[in-house]
Amino acid sequence: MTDKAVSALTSLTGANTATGDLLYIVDISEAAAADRSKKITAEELQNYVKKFPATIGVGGATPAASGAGISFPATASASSDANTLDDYEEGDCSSSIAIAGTTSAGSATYSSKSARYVKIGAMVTVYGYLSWSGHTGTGFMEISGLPFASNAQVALHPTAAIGYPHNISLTAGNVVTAFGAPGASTISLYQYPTGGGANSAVPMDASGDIMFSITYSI
Amino acid sequence: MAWSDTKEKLMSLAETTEVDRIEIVGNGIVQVREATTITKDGEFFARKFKRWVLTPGQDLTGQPEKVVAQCQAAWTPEVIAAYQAQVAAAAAGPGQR
Repeated sequence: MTDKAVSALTSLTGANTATGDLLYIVDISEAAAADRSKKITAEELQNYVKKFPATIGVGGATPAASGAGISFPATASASSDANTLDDYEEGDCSSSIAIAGTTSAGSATYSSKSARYVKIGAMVTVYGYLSWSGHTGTGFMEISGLPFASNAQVALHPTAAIGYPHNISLTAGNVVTAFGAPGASTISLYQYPTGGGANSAVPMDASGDIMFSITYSI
Repeated sequence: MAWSDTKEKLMSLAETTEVDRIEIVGNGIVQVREATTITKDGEFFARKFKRWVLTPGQDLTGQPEKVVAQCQAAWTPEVIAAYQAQVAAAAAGPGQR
């Protein structure tokens, strides 16, 4: 490969100029694959790169018709290899997400009830906003309806962030925190004293607003 | 432009919505995915997902038939009892309730 071609490759991919790995060129160019000893010019390389499809499908997935990226199968084909990214999915879970009581789930009127999720490999992030009134639930407060149950094998509680607890009744001098239980699809709300001390669950509140996010493994 | 030319340029977009995945987790939680697929001239164009979960023993009113069937098959009295025990244990949390 000419120095000019290496320079072009570097500008395009950030590759190490010292190595100039020819296998990379073979992978991206059917034309060059026929003759690995072929010298290619920078212009040829640019032309090869331009032929890349904007989207590629792996595992038999149909490449997306818009944008640029990697399309995974609609039904994930899980890999046991720890270094393999085997799934990507994003979507809406607004219909499932809700405020619920631990003793009696109850129901409420929601002026806002929206949540979305992104699943990358075995990690799921859910974020949403709930604004409710007239809740009939009893017991302690939780957010129910996460789109995936968390990993039951991991004895670690996935922690959640409550970024906007509005009009939620707490014990004086306490702040809110939250976590999910292993193997569950809920987030439990807790509170703890600002000066430290034992935490306690947050009682159900008939009305309030919550913006939240949680990232957990499945 | 002739009508025939215009007609050829019209795209045929179609949208279908269906539950395309029902996943049953070990403790009986059922994860449902609904896919809305858009095709252009019969070819796949775009897809959006919506998900929800159903916990053992939950009311299934309004759920699609095939979801109800899977839940009823999976949610034996033993599964429901075990899930309720899990919830009760989790309610204690890592701290004090």
